[in-house]
This record gives sequence, structure tokens and C-alpha cells, in this order.
Amino acid sequence: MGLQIIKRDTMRGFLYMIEAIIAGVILIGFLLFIGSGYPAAQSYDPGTMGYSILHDLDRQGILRDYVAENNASGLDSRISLFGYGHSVLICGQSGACQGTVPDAGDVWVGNYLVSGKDDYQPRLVKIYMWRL
Amino acid sequence: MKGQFLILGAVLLCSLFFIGLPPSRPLAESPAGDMGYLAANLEKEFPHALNLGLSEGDPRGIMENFTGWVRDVAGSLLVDFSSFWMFSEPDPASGNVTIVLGNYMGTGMNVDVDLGGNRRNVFVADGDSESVTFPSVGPEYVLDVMFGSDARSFTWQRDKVSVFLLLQLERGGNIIRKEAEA
Repeated sequence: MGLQIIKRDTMRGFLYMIEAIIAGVILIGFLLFIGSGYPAAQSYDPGTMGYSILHDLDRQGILRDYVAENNASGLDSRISLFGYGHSVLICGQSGACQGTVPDAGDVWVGNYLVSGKDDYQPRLVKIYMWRL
Repeated sequence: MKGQFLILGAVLLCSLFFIGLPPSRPLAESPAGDMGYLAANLEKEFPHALNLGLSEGDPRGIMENFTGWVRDVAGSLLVDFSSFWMFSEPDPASGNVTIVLGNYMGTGMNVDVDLGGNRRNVFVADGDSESVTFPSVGPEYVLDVMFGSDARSFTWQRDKVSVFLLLQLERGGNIIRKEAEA
């Protein structure tokens, strides 16, 4: 009689252990499924982020007006970038530039060429970015 | 086993919620690094430069100037830029069409231009442009062009300025070649 009770308790403990393993497998599987579909911060690519920003500004019709006016600070004020500092430089064909070059290490640069707005005035727009 | 059914039910409910969300999109995309963006920038900007040239009455001069400048800027970014472009300049009064050819492929080349069986051959030095004029062109014409080892055929309108661009960017082993027609 006593031996039967001990045997039943052992079986129950074993069952609990199996149940715990199954629950763990289900939870880990679910977390892996969620994790694989939603990548986090590693999607940032600072090397091309500047190019992307300047492309978007031109697509929105913002870039060309500031470039035509040589207004580097105005263009810079239209950029908001969380976690990064930034500055804009606008250079003419002669090499003369408006704007500021940052005095910081590890700076990423994005470039965009503009032929002009209403007149032919080729300009190179540079955006400098650094981590804050 | 009752607990596991509850967990499974919760997981299924959460899955339904996440399936309903749009797929994730990175904040910054890089189709081919900075070269991809540069190529897209130039593909858009060359026709714009031509339009500015037309409005200022010097499309050929401005296209030459712009291409030379782009080559210099690309060089400063360690990108070897080469280009071949051509555009039509219609003369509505006479019905003539002038085809302007710009060669920035790194070496001079002979270009064959055939407009409706009227064939011309012109040598275009590297970093230079040449033009050929075809008289009394019909309202729509087929233009066959052979430059280097490439051949292209276009159907253009006599009274409209049309342009063909070939842009090539190269850095190390990475080459991006784009063609555009407008």
C-alpha cells in the first residue's frame, strides 16, 4: 500500500516535469517567432542614413529651395535625427562652401548633387552626422 | 495539462495580434550602399540639368559642364564615374533634328547614328560632345545608335526634346550601371 503511494507521487512529479518542459518550449518558440519578425536597432545604417535623408528632403520639395539660397543652417534646421548630431554644408562648383564642418570624431557623411532650381547652379550638399 | 492549454491559447491570441501588424521596415535602407543612392541621385539630376540648360538656351554647354562636375565630385568620393548621353534638339521651323552626343566613358569612341536609314558616323573624344543634324525628319522617327560595344534603338517625337542617359559608377569591384530615357 505504502509502496503504491510512493510510486503514484513519483509519476505525478514526472508528469509535472514534462508539463514544465512543454510550457518552456512553447514560450521559447513564441519569443523566437516574435523576435525574428521584428528586428530592432541593428537596422540603422549610419553610412547611408545621410543619403536617405537628403533624398527624402528632395522628394518632399524642401532641399532645392534651401540649396538655391545657399542656406545651410536653414536646411539643417529641417532635419531631426534622434540620437545623432548633424550639420549641413553646401558647396558650389568653385569649391566655396556654406555651413559648418563638425569638429568631432567618427562622423558619417551623406552627399547629394543638385544641378539647380530655376537656374543652373550645381551644388554639392553634404550632411555630417555623429552619435551623441 | 490544463496550464499548457492556457499558455497555448494566450500564444495564439498574441500571434493573431502580431499577424495584423504591418511588416517591419528599417529606418534607413541601403539598396547598394552610398553608390546606390548616388546613382539614383544622378539619374534624377541629369534630366533636370538638361531642362535647366534648355531654359537657359545652352543645353549642350550645361550638360558638358554638369557631367564634368559630376565626374570631379564622384572622384572625390572615390567613385569612378563614366557616362554616355545624347539628346535631340528639334528645329520646328525647318523640321530638322540635331542629335547631341556626349561621351564621358573614359576613352574616345566612334558613334554610329542612324535615323530612318540616314546613317552618320562621328568620333566623340572622351570628355567632349558632338552633334549631327538630320534634315526633314518625320513627326516620329526611329533612331538607332551604336556606341562602343552597345547598340540602342529609340522611337522619338520630332518636336519634343528627348534624352538618353547611360550612367556608370564603379568603386573597387562594385559597379552600378543605369540607363534612363525621357
